[in-house]
Amino acid sequence: LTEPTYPEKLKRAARLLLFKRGRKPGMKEWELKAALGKRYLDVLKDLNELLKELDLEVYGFEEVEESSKLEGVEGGRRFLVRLKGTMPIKEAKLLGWRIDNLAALAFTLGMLVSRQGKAERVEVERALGEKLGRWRSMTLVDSMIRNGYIAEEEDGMLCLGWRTKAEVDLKALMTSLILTAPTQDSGEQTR
Amino acid sequence: LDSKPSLVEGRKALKEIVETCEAIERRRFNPFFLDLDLAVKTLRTYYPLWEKREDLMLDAETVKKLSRVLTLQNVQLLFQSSRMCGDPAVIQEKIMRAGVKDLAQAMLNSLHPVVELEQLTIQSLKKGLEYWGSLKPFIERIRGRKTASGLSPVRAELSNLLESGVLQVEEFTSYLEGVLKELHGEFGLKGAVDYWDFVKRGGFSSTVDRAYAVSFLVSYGMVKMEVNNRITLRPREGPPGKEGTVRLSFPISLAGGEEP
Repeated sequence: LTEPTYPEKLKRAARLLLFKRGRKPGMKEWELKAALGKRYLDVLKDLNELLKELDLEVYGFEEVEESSKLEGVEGGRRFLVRLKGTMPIKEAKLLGWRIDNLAALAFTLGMLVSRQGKAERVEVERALGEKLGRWRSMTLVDSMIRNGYIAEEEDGMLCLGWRTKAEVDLKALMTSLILTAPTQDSGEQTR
Repeated sequence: LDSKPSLVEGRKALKEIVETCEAIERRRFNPFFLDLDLAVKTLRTYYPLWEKREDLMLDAETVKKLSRVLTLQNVQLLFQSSRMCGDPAVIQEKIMRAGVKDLAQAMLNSLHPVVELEQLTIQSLKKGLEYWGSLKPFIERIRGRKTASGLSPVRAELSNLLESGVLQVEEFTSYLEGVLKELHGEFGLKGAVDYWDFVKRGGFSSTVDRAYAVSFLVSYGMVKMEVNNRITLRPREGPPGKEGTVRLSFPISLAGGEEP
């Protein structure tokens, strides 16, 4: 069998990263190495250059926390294609999330990050429930878990999920949250 | 006051420390809520009193919990020194007071959605068509397959359970003792016992049971196995000392019930 040419490898990399095949998008680093050869990182770099024109980027992230690796959980980077920039609020509908659900997601992630990445599910639901109601908060937490933004551990603790690691710039989120001024309606509530 | 530390007080103090550590681990309190120096001093105060195993275990558990809290304190310091923020309580207060639109905007400012395509290609359609063509009708595929239809649950008698191996007539340890006794008897009569002569008695099922028992006896050091031209067994009076012994695995295939 002849080795595929470099442009063919580039096309293959695009297909592998863009088309969904499993539950999670993208591919693991070792799979890419097997499919694209030793120079897979060069191929990904060139694909990234091509995608820049479309405001997209090839992004790699560590799926497993360092602490979990110490406990024997298999690690490894996953690569996927994501939006390089961010979306204006007018286009938020494209994500399939309602504005108030996005707000709840920001709230939940903010709460988890401010507690070093973990919080009790009941506490998160109680805090969300103050603004959204108990049942809505419960279904929203379930939805966030299903979508991979957060994960639930056996002891009822919530932690950051794989999709948060892939999609969310946590530093930018926390900075935005800190700079967010309290709204008038919330001021009225506190009066 | 020269009151001496008592066991009861010590146990109570350590349990309180463990409970506080657990609350911190579940993020109910700030990690710096616990004074680690004081906790360690408390441990040192009561350590000389511990004699029972339970108390020593409580002491070890407390040390483990304190080390987790120390890790969390470290994480908190790293977190606060990073650009992410200051005090978690302040952030939580802030996000609780933020409006829906502001929160959504903050989320969007930091969100880079993953691009995924779900699309049929000509190749996948061709493969699907090939599979469809080679797929036999459902009735043909399930023909000859054993199904559960028509069978109702039946009561299992003791004999069924014994036959299927769910229950055993005797406990495994007493079975091992029986096999060892048998080996001692044969060794007393004719010296080293041939492995296959000893193991291959009864049907294949019995051979497997006996081989399994012998492997345990050899592992425990109750029987010495010698592998030369043939495999022989010699019972020992007691387990061997560690000096000069080398432990190794010796796989013996029983697949065909044949000797190697």
